[in-house]
Amino acid sequence: MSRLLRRSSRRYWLRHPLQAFLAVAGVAVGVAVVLAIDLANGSAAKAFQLSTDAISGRASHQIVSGPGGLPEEIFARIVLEGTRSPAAPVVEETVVLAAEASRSLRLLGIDPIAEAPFRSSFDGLGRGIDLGAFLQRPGAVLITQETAAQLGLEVGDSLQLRVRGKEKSVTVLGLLKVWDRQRRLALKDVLVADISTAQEILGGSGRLSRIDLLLPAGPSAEVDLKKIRSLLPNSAELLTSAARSGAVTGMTAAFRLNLRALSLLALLCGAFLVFNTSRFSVVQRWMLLGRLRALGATGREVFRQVLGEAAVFGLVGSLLGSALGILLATGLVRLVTRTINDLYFAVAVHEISIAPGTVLAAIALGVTASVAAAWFPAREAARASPRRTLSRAHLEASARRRAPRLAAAGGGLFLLGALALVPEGSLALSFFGVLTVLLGSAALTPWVTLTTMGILLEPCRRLFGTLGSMAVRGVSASLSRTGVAIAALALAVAVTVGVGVMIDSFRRSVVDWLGYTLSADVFLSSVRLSTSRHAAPFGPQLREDLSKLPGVEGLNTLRRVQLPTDQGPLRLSALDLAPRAESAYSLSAPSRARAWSLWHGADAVFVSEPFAFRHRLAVSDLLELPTQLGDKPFEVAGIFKDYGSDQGRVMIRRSLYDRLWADEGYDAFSLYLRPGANLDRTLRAARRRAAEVPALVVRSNRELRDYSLEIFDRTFLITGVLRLLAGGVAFLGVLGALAAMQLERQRELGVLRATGLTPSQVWRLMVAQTGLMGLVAGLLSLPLGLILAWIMVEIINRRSFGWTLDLTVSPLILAQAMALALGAAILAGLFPAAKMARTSPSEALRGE
Amino acid sequence: MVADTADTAPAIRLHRLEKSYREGDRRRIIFSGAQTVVEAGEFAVLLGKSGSGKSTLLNLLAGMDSPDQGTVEVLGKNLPKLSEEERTLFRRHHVGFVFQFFNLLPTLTVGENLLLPLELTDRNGAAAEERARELLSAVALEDRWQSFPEHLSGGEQQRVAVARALVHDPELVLADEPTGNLDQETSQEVLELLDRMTRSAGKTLVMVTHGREVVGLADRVLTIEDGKLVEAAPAR
Ligand SMILES: Nc1ncnc2c1ncn2[C@@H]1O[C@H](COP(=O)(O)OP(=O)(O)O)[C@@H](O)[C@H]1O
Ligand SMILES: [Mg+2]
Repeated sequence: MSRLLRRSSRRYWLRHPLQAFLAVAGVAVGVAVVLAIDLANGSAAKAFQLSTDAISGRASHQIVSGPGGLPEEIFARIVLEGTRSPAAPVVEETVVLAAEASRSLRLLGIDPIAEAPFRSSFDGLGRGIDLGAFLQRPGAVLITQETAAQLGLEVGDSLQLRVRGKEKSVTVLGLLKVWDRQRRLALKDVLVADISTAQEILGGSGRLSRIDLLLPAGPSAEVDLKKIRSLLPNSAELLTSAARSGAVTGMTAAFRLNLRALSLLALLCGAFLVFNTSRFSVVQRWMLLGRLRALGATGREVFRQVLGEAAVFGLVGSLLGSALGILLATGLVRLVTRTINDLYFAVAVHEISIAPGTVLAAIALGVTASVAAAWFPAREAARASPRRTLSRAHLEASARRRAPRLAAAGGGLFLLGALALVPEGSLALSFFGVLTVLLGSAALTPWVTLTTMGILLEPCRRLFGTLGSMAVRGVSASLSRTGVAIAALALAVAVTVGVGVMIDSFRRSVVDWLGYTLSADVFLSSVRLSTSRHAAPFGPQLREDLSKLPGVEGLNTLRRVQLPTDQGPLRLSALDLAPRAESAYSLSAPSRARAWSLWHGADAVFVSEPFAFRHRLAVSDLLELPTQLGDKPFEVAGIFKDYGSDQGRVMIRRSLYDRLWADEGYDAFSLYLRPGANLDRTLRAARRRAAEVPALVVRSNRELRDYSLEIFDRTFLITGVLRLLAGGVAFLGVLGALAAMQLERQRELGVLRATGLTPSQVWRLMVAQTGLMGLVAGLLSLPLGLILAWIMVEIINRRSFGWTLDLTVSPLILAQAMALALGAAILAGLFPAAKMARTSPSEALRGE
Repeated sequence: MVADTADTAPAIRLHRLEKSYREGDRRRIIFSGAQTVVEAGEFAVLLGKSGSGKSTLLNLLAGMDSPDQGTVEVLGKNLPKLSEEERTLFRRHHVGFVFQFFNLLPTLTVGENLLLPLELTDRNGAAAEERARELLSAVALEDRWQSFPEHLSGGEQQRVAVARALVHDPELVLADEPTGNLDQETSQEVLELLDRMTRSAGKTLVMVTHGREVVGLADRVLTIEDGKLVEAAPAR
């Protein structure tokens, strides 16, 4: 029996290849998106891990410091008095080629003797290299063979670098032969030098970027740690390596979570497709299943058969999807890493790493989703009665009868989802809420469809006669099919509306913010201001020279540093603001005047909105910062809007900063022109001056604004891509549902043709029907999309990033949504409609 | 117009009709050189083994299928010479069809099913509704105007189908085993209804059937044998 059951099911699907294809394609695209996002995220994290591994190696702890680095003597004291465990000093900074300021390299200064226990990257690489020369020859560096090849260098060649404004020459002493790919990636574009060589290249300041420690686990380490802490200057922190890299990866967690959630939405659409196909196959085989039951197949066997079919679709789709996902990931990884580069830290990913676990998990997810989606249809199939084989009409009638109950359940789900959105704190709960709200509204769809068709019936009959009412009734008559298709389309369009409104609101907020924040006329900053982890700062001379440029009335200066804290690096901006700049800040404080007087006179700071959110700070709270004179409390004088960083920033006035940190560097300047001054002339002069400084770019106000928006748009590009993919899956769903629906109404169409409908009338009838479906989907998607947008803006973005955005809904986006729903539905209907219109009536009447 | 010629010309004239279907790489010949004439107002019964081509012939007569060769002249028009569009419009105006099952459009009420052919021939409004209701009461179902077909019994559905085939006053009515799905008694009822209604309105009726009892009502009995149409003498 079961062998024949299986054969019957196989033949059924072979006869309905389009249906089978759509189910498989739905799962495939869903799985592909989920997997691609996972792989892209994973690869970015892995690349970051690799580069930190190369930096921190096997260190268990690191001593790090804020601006200016650590004094060298600390290292000697730690080795002599602090611990007997291995310790290694490290100097690290980004340098650029003298000939090409945009090409940056990483200079890594190490102590080869102390180094041995630390960096696996160098294990076995020292062979054949003259250690004496490495230690003593000025400017001696080692690079990997690949990097040498890229730069066109050979052993003995020298390379001109620009370091802190001065030209420096280094010589390739030897090539590191790295065989494994991971280490090759980790050491790409790295110049390895002896620590004193590196210090000399960087200007001989006698300071270290970091000290790595390898402390054994256990109580003896505690003793050592206490001793080491007592030796450290105030501005230095002792961190575990895990905490340090964890904090950095943690920074991108929210970003990655958002992507993950969106990708799951694509899978949800895919599952919808399986549901749709399964359901349709059951309805279509209703008689067949009834006959099978009459012949003795048990309900359980029928149930298993339908579920088994879904599992096969799930498996085939998931396998195809994995291949597709890996392809897609190579494209997405660039988008993901570019965003991470723009917003968080520099990371270079050159290829995706395919974790078998991730692939298997995606496949399991795909199969599970499609089996889950087929659950209800399978149960329905098991109820196919051997005695009264209900007609299709009865099935549909029961679907219509169930619509109000389903809607009630949907309303319940909707409320449950809304409730889940109430408590703050758990982002996962919020996403669960969003998902539940979506499912709830999907369950509402059949009832909304029936109601809308009920309202449209009379007007359509008035306008288009019997054919008009036929089109309207056709939608409700096949509710089991049309309902699912409309729900899938409405969801996809709602996601488009929601994400669109969210991005719109975000962009609008950013544009506003840029409008009042970028009040200066000319901006100068290091090439990679946003990722200036190790870029060399500019000196005071530049500040002097800039203030003397023609037409300049005032000048802001900015120094961005990161202070080590136990919760990861804290971004501190030291600002010296021209009077005109002050009015530009949008501060939330009880009194602006008081805020600015505190800023100028007291130990006070401003914090950005996301920072206040993350650290739960309010105006007048105290914030403790590790200064070089010890930890000090600062009053939070105001909270400012800032969309530049989701981590948040702390602003401190420059004079206060100078008192507490020994640092005379600058990262950026902005110039105010005298009224009536010639912008072009100042720009030209600034560019001339900037040409003498490496990695310094000059932008006009307009250029910087454009640049900022470009980064913004890039950040949301990937969101846009995902949105498209989710929409694509939904489109497939509608296409499948329509094709199926038309197919089963072949006989009806045959009768119509026999009665005298021309092919073009049949075509119009079919397209009108899909248009009506698009209309309902569009109507549903508008409120749902706005709710989604509201959730994303008010809940997700505020909770995961601490950003407050003004929800702006442009009527254009709503019109677009309506056009999208209608367009997609009609487009999906065109092909099946054309096919039906072309079928010869005698053929159609022969039926199945 | 066609109506004028219909008085003089035969309702149906088949000449050297050739029709075959491809089945994989083989050809199944249905008609080879079939010919016959049915006069206007006649009731012709078409007999033949299952699969002999009865439905195919009706489809050819309705312009829903095309012959490989030969003449299919209906009401003076040679259908194969017309375009698809023209054939559809011809059918819309001059042909009524009753099938074995699934005649009625499930998304339309009984009343609307009857209105559709009228609407397609541009008859709307109160006059059209009056005509539709008249036909419905002729088949004794006037109280089912608002019902959907799924709530009607098989016999009732066929009666509505008969009414619909006649409502727009076509010259030719084609019925393909209209009683094949019905019990003996109901079947007789529907047959007599068809005969009465076409005859009283002077229409040509071609009916495919298995039931020998119809033969008694027919003017002409045609049988498909070896791809040809063979005429048997009517019982009357
Ligand atoms: N569209 C078609 N394609 C292929 N074969 C067909 C088609 N229509 C009918 N046939 C074949 O032609 C033969 C006659 O069919 P039909 O006219 O339906 O017979 P019946 O006399 O039972 O009504 C049958 O063998 C059938 O299989
Ligand atoms: Mg037949």
